[in-house]
Amino acid sequence: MRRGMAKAIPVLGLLAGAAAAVLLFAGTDPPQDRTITVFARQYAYEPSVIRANRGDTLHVKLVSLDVTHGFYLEGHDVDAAVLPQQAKILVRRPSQGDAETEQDEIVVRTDRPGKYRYRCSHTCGALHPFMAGELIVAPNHLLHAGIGASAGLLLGFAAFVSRRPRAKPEASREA
Amino acid sequence: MRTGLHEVLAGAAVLAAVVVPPLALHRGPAADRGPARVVSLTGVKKDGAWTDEVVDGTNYWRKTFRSATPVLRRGEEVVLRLASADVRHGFYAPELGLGPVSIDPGKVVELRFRPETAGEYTYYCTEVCGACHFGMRGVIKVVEPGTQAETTAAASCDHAQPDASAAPPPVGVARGARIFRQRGCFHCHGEGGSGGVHNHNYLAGNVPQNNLIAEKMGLFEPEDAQKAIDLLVGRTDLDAVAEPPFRNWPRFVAQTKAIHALILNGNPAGRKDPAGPQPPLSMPSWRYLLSDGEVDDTIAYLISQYPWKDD
Amino acid sequence: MKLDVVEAHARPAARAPASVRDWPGVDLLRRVPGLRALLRWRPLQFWLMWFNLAVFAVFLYAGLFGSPVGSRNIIIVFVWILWWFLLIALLVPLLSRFWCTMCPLPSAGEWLQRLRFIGVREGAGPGRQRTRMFGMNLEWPKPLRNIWLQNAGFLCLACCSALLVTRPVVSTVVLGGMIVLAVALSLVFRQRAFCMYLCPVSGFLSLYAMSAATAVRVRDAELCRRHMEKECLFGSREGYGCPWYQYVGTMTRNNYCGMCFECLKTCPHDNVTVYLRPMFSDTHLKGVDEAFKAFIMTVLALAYSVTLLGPWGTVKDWANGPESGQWGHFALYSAGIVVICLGVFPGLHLLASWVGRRIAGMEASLRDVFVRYAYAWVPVGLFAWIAFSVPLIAVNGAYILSSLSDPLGRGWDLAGTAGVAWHPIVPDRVAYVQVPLLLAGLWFALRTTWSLAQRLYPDARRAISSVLPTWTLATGVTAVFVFFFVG
Repeated sequence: MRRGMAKAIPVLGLLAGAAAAVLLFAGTDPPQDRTITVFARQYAYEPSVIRANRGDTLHVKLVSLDVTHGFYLEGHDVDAAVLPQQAKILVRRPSQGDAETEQDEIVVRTDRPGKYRYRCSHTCGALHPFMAGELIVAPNHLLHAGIGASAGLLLGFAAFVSRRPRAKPEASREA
Repeated sequence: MRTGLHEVLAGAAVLAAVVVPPLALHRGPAADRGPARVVSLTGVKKDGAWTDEVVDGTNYWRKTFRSATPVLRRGEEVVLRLASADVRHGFYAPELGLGPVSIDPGKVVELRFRPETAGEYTYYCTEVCGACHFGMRGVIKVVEPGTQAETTAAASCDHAQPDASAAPPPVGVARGARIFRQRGCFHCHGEGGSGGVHNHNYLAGNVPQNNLIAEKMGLFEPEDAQKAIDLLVGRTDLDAVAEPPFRNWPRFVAQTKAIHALILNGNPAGRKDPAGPQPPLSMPSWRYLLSDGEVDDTIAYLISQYPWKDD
Repeated sequence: MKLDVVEAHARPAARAPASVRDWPGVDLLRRVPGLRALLRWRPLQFWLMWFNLAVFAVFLYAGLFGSPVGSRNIIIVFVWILWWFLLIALLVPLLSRFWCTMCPLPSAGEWLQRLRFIGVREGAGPGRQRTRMFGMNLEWPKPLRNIWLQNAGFLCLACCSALLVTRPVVSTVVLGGMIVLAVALSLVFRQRAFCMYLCPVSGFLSLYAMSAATAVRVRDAELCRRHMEKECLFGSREGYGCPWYQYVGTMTRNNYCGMCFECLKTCPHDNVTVYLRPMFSDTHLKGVDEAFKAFIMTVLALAYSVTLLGPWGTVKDWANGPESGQWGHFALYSAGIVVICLGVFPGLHLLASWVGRRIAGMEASLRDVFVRYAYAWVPVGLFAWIAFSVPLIAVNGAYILSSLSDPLGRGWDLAGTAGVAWHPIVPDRVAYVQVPLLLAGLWFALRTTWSLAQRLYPDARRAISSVLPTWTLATGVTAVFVFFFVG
């Protein structure tokens, strides 16, 4: 019975670590309104990583430097076709089908924290499936939870094995 | 024993497994297009070509493709199958009423039409697809039934060098010349800006000639033109020049700014007949591909190309 | 009976456990109706291989004569997205090396050796084999009876991964080349030399098979000790001697069992079965080559993630040297991977082992500590690879449907699914799957190395201190993966 309960120590450690990390790093800067120009080329975006805070409004201008690329932002229902050497981009909402509108920019509201990749949605060459950038919206709870959980699991497991009696433990029947 | 039969069946199955799938793929699904003539064109970015050859893993990387010249008979029904081997291309043949359509790699766009008039019709790629895009065009020939037409090989894209080269480009007219060549400007504006190609239903008929901008800027003397070139190459702030170095200074400044903006922003080609098709060639925006200095060098180059008459 | 080491390429058991299994197992052949009959049915393996052979014929043709656009060519989509995901996320953790059962690469070679597709040719064979085998039937050279060649081969492929998984023709050449190599080796060496010692896939399958929930083992090892004929090793009219040079009578690990089930067919005492067991029940790495395989695979999980899934264009340019023209950087990138896989990461593990041993006590040799605790990288690496593969399916899985209808990217629509547009499947939620996977890897690493530590250091406190540095390193690496995928 006690052994059964003791087995929960590593799990508790994991959960405690996750919770602690999330609470510790829950702070974030006040929301802003920003304009970002994202350049697309074979096979990456520049900037490759955009860091924002929850509640920001991002005005994203898209420019292609070589061929037609796409800009599919995960979790934000926006997909644009970026044609090179012209000012307008063609934007569609994946949830609403294939209808495209010509726009100058995309407006993104970062209401949910986390990591959202923007991927190329128009085949642009050999490495097209791996062409992506990252929009990271603080506070990134899952990141904090994951790292906290890893540390918590280590500590919990170490505590669990440390509490064993000093006598020789039976060989490896421990599940 | 039945072993022998098992082995024979197994062997037959192996043979079938190895032979039947490739054969089936080779044949492909039956495509019922009726009596129409099928012309296949595949866009290849690295050569800026619409080739009628099959582009696949065995040849894409090692072969140099050139744009095809399909020969069609007047009045016959034609199915044009357009594909891309790499990136998104656009296809447009305004005089035949074909396109503009976008062709994504892996998808095939079919255009059915019947050419009614004999002649030579240019087709273009209308989505910038790389360094060879501006030369990516070819000719469709429509001839009277029963006659032949020779197909001449289109030019290959040999001007587009990788931007990172061994020797640093010399700032100035020479660099402008290099830009004009490498970026493919000459494909539409002619060598040295000496005269543009036909642009169907465009206001001015042909793509504008560039080598007369010295005149447009009011530089009527070679010495004035040289001073202008020096100012541009020296990256002088034209608004801050106190003493106009030559006549027509305000006109020169205004024209320079206008041409600079035009190169940076691009401009859609205006239609001669508003009800007619969109012209296939429009000035693209070079804002993010050329620095201000590179644009100035190019303008300086074009000024230098003025065909001064020998006195 | 002393086993002739020529027949079985068994590694000397450093400290062999008393029985061939020290974990609880469910005897599947007795529990699942019809399974025993199915696995003893000779044509089973043939038809499995046949199916994949036909599929491969499609792929090889497509790679050569289909579209050069990877995402529109069935070989790229089905091999590097679908097959890869199924292999690493489902097949290996659940069914060990079941892929090897049906892999088409060695099929032609094996049928040539046997001069049979299905049946058995009884008679005097090479060595003490009781089945006749065509070919030179040389024994694989002893100095090469390890997985160093596979380590090298996989590293080479990894350096070219950006080319391999994006260009159909490269995939065709590599897979076709492996078939040619397998056939050539089949004519020179006895049985599955290619599979056992050269195939890059086999290299990592051997490592991660240790995690599998199924295992081929004998029921009663004592029975095997008394049984002299050893049909499992030398063959009989019912089947061939183990093509993988293993002796199932003392086989305690999944690593080199290719699940061909020949031993299941030949054992006259019906003593061989398939067990269902807890994951990561095989916990012994035997040899520095296997330890290095664990290092290589863990580092490569990160390298592939950084190069292919990461946002950094510079890294992609370097990895894509032949297209970007940056050959110098391509060499640098490859060298970097090799140095980290063979030098930096093993060095970190060596440091952790050295520190742990210093604290806990020198009675265990450094080599022992180093090799045994390297097992930590088996669960960490496996789950890192699964976490890497999940976004491949979630983001690019739609291509599976479209390439089914248009395998060559020519605008066909064989099954009506060619029009399926690319659409990621809840890609922003993938991280919620990846983090638990990584934590599971860490959990198994801690657990398994704990039991290994207890065997090395019976005193609990010394066991903990010996393995704590390795645990810290494993936690750090897990945190790095979490940070990469999620942060």
